[in-house]
Amino acid sequence: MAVSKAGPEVHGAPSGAAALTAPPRPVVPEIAPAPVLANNPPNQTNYYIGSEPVSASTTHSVSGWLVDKVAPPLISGLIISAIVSVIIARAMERYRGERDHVNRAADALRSQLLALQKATTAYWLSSYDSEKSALQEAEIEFLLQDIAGLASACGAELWQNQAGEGPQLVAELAEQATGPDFGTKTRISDRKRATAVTRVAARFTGRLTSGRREYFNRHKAGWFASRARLASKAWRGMRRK
Amino acid sequence: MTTLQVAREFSPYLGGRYRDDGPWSGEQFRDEMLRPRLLEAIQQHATLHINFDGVAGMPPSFLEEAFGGLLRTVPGLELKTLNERLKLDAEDPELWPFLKLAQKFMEHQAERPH
Repeated sequence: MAVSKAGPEVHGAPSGAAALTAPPRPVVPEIAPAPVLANNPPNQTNYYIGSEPVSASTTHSVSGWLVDKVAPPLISGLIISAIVSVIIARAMERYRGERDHVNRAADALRSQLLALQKATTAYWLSSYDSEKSALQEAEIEFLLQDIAGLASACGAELWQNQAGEGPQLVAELAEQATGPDFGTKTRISDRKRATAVTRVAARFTGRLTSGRREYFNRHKAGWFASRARLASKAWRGMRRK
Repeated sequence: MTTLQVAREFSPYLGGRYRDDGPWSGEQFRDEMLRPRLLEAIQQHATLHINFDGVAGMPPSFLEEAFGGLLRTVPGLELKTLNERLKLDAEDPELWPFLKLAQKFMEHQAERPH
């Protein structure tokens, strides 16, 4: 805005002699109102990045920012969480399956041991019989073979090698159930052997049960248990410091 | 060292105690396979390894007649010699108790009066 001495008084300037003696006051130009951003329709929300306003026409850069900065870690996170959940689910399924298999084998083993006790008792309480003995012998031999298979399936901890406790226990059971006279035509009834089988079978079942408990305690939740132990150890170490 | 593969050289389906009980009996195995091969190994100061992998099962009566019967039928054969010259073996864990059982049958037979 132009200022003239001869022209009309400037708003706020002194008049007459005072105007001649007094130094001229500095002219303060009117401050123009903040320009309204072009293409910014009324009621349009203004966006800011830092202190800089962003017009509606430039909001496409916000979506670009989202695509550049937010989406990649979000997608990576989703992929990682999906993979981890699949791995955890598989580990849990495997553990559950193994446990079910061992439990089913243990149940079958118990019923076969019971059948063996009955068969051996009946066999050893009578002397050789040309008609019955062959059938009884075949049944006892089948049961012993089945028991060996089931015991090796549900007592992995006892079945590490040939000299392991599991094979020894089954061998002892088989020895009590059969003996040197088993299957001979000169066999006579043997009450001691008939009762010994029950005793050995009871000891065998007890040992298998405790072996199975030890095995599951050691392998409980496998990976998770080992990580929990490590975390607990680290936590104790930090607290000591 | 010589090896006798029972499943391949004799049968994968081991039978009963006597020949009368059917084929592949312990008596047949002892007379046709075990005794000649063991005596040969003893003469050569070698060890006879008997491998049972591949058999469907090891019936106790078969084992008693084959291994316990070895001490009954070979005069002068001692348990000590058998322990030195005869080794029973199997990779299959289900057969391990029966290897031990065969050993026990030999021990029982050695303790029995002839």
